[in-house]
Amino acid sequence: MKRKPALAYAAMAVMALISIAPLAWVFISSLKSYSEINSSAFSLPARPRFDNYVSAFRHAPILRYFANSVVIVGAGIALTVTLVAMSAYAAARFRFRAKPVIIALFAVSLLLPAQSITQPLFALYTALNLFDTKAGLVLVYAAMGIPIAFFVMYGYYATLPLALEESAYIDGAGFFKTFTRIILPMAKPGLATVVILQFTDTWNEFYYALMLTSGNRARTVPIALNYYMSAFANNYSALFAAVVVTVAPTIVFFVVMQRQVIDGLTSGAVKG
Amino acid sequence: MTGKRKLWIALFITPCMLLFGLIYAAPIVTVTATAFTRYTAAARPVFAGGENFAALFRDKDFQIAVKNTLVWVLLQTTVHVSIGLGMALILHKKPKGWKVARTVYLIPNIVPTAATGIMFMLLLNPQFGVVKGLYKLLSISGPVPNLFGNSRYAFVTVTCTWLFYSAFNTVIFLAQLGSVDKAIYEAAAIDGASPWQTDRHINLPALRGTIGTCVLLASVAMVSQFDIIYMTTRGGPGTATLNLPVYLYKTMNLENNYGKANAVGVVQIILGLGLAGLIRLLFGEKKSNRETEAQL
Amino acid sequence: MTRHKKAATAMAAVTLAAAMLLSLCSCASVSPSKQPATASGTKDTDGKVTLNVINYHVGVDYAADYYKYLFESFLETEAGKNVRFNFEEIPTTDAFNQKIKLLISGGTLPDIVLNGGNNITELAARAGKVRDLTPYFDADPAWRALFDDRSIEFNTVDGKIYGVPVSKEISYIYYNKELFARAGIEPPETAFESWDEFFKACETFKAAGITPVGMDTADSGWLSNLWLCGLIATQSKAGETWMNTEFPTNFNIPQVQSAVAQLQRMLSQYTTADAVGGRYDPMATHFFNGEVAMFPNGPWMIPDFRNTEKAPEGFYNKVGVMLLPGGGMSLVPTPGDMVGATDPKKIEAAVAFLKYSTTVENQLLALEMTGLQPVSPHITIPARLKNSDPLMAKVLDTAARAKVTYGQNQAYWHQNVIDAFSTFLPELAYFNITPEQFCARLTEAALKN
Repeated sequence: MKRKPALAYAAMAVMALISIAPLAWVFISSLKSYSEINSSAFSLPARPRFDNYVSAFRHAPILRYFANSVVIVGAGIALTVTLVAMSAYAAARFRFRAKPVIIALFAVSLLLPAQSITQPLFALYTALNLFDTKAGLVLVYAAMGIPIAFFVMYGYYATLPLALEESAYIDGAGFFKTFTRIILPMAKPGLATVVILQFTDTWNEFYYALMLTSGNRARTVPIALNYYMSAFANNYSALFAAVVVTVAPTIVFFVVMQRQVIDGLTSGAVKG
Repeated sequence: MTGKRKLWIALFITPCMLLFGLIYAAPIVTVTATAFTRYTAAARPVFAGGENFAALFRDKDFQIAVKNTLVWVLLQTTVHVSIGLGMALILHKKPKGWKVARTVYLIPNIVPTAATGIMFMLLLNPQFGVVKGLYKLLSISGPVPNLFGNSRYAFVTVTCTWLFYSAFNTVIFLAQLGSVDKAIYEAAAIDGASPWQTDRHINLPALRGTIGTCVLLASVAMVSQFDIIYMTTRGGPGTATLNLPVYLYKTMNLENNYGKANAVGVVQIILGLGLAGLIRLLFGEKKSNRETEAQL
Repeated sequence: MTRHKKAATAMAAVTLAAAMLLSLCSCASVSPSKQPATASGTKDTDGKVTLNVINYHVGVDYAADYYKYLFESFLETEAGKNVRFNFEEIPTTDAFNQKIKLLISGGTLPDIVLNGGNNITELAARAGKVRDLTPYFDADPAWRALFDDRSIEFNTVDGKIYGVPVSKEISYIYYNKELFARAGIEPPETAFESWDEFFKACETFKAAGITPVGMDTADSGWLSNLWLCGLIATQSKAGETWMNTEFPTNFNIPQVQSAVAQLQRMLSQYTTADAVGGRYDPMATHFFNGEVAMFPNGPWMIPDFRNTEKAPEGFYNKVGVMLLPGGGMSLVPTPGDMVGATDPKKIEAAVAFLKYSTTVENQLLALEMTGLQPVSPHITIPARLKNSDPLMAKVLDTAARAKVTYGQNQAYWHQNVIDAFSTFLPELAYFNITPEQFCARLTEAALKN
């Protein structure tokens, strides 16, 4: 490409910097002693101290929470993607009376404050025995993701050309067959987007995770951070270490997931 | 439409709506209904007409909250979405290292908000943070600005914790750009189109509808923005960073006035829907969409 | 990949997701063990009574060890031998209070409701979610005699006692002996005679390059609150009376306004750069590391002085204790733990636990382990404390010499007034508003309740 690549690289560099620099600063600070933190913001630690990491693991069952997060977020994503892949397709391709109502409802739900949802939801969950279960959180997260996923997929389907579908119908293929064989393969990049968005949205969810659980059975990573905040509020280097401990596995997990899942999905896409 | 096809459409829509209804039906009803009641943590709701709304509109702080919310919506729908769009146009050309850049740029989005809050508070701490470091480095005299603590800077500081992190939009744009027919680019290249011309005449038109979606999502996200503000300033200092969700939180948890809090929720919903309507008007319902509907 | 294979994969994915959803739902509805910690059942099959508790004294909470001991040792007593606890842990009081409020408005409270403040007692009582404990106090005069009237009154709503207080809360000033010596100031035996003298000392510290006081504004502005309450209460009889009033609604009075003006002076001149917008904990760290000379707080901070994860080795010995200028000390009753159980057997067991938590023995243990001040006015402090914790002994000794005692805002002000206090303090510190405007803001918030 002949566009002044310097400009593009400068933009990429700036974005990378503002994305990584704060985290890098936190990581370096986590290896410093209190007086080192206090005396200079930019200095490197004289002798890196790892004892903060040891205490971070001691204070919260982070690995268990991490496992819970993977299961809950993973199942939530699978559910959202499946449901939305179907419903957004129907909505994007066909006209039916309930469509404007559905779209309005989705928009309203995005605007509902979490604080107001919690009370009725809590009552419902207690009644259905969904309180403090992984399934309960999966359902909330899946439902939470539906509106945004729907809007994204609705837009994506609308840009897909009709030609292949039409020929499929002419060849006598049914509705479902056309959907799975023609539409889904073309929709892969859109679905991959939904996976990423849903992951970033639910991985960090704190409020429902706290309000709808009561024990370690279904608690997720963001709650571990709350343990740390109360535990290390006094101790900067430990607090920095705690942030690293919560964030690092997430980043590793995300990078791996992105490589395996997203790239797999996107590269398989065929364009009509 | 044949009856069989109608059945399929229903089968495709229903499961999604069932799950959505399970989680959201009760809340939507409760919030709207109790907004018109006198309802506190300790007492059951009693109908009170528009009392809560009247109290809200009299409150100066509420007006400030609405104003701040709208300023954030404006910034987010313009600056934030543009940054995401710019990055997508750059990354789409697959310059060296684009995959790494894409992943790195997404990282702030997966850091828990609580961690982001602590991180920025520590980073900008006037006692030992980087601002003080910079002042020392450049030997600037005078007191180090307290970026979260002083209302003169707080709004800008809080905004900076999210304004530039637009990877969410970049991902959506990139996906959409992936659906543009490769043949078009080849044709453009043969015609000797510059990268800018490619963006101007191929990519941006292709993204028109997606930009609409992103603007819509950005404004909706700002109308309900809460976590990071709560983590850093709690709407302060004074009312510098007070927005509707923080106002709602305080009404609900500190005044224990659930009726009034839900009235704020209703205002939030109406405001968001109004903005959504406006955005749809601006970006228009996609023409191609109508066509596809008609043909099938 | 062939088309067939792709379709099959997609189908499989859909089926799998559907199956997963179904199984998740069904397993959730049949499994009896997945009860919320708050659901109230009856006696279990083995004849034991299960008490649900939500505990926020977990992790490194100052009282975590003590409560762990309390729960465990109760099970060994006569009243507790048939009891089993079912715990839900919630770190941080903030998260705990949010959950309790959610349960008050839409659920069932745990059988034993630990009290995290926040006017929870009144809310829970008005909502009918906690039990009236008056009959238990009436039936056991010896138990009732452990409490002073003020503590009981503080836990009474509409004439009924709902909370069993386990402690009293006092606060005063800790000071760093080394920094006083370095600035050449002789620390007063009990307290600075007046605020004038206190401010003179602040000037001397400042001239010596030492930050005089620890203050904060975030969360609730706890440290600033302690300074302010002292400033109001010790300047006049009227101020003292006002500071002993619960839920004041008028802050536009000269006593408060002039005290706020002094607070403004302290925030802008005598404290660390990060006090404005800062939380309590980093400020405590400043004190631990010898960066500020005076720090207001209560006895629960004493164990921290010896905790080497927080303070440097040997810091404990550098700390001195004094009252606020004019001999002031805040002294408030604490909100007591409550009973949320409905089943008579469980209520009985829960009350037994609350009684156990207030035995003289346990009050003393709490004092030693956590610094919680005994709720009972007549407890004799054992001599061994002088050796094991001389600073605590000094606190008790100094507290007895207070000339003025008063409340403080965490206990006596409405939640939203504390919030207004915290959010408008920075504005005050940077002179964006006057003390009068600050007081007007607090008044406005108070009237919303």
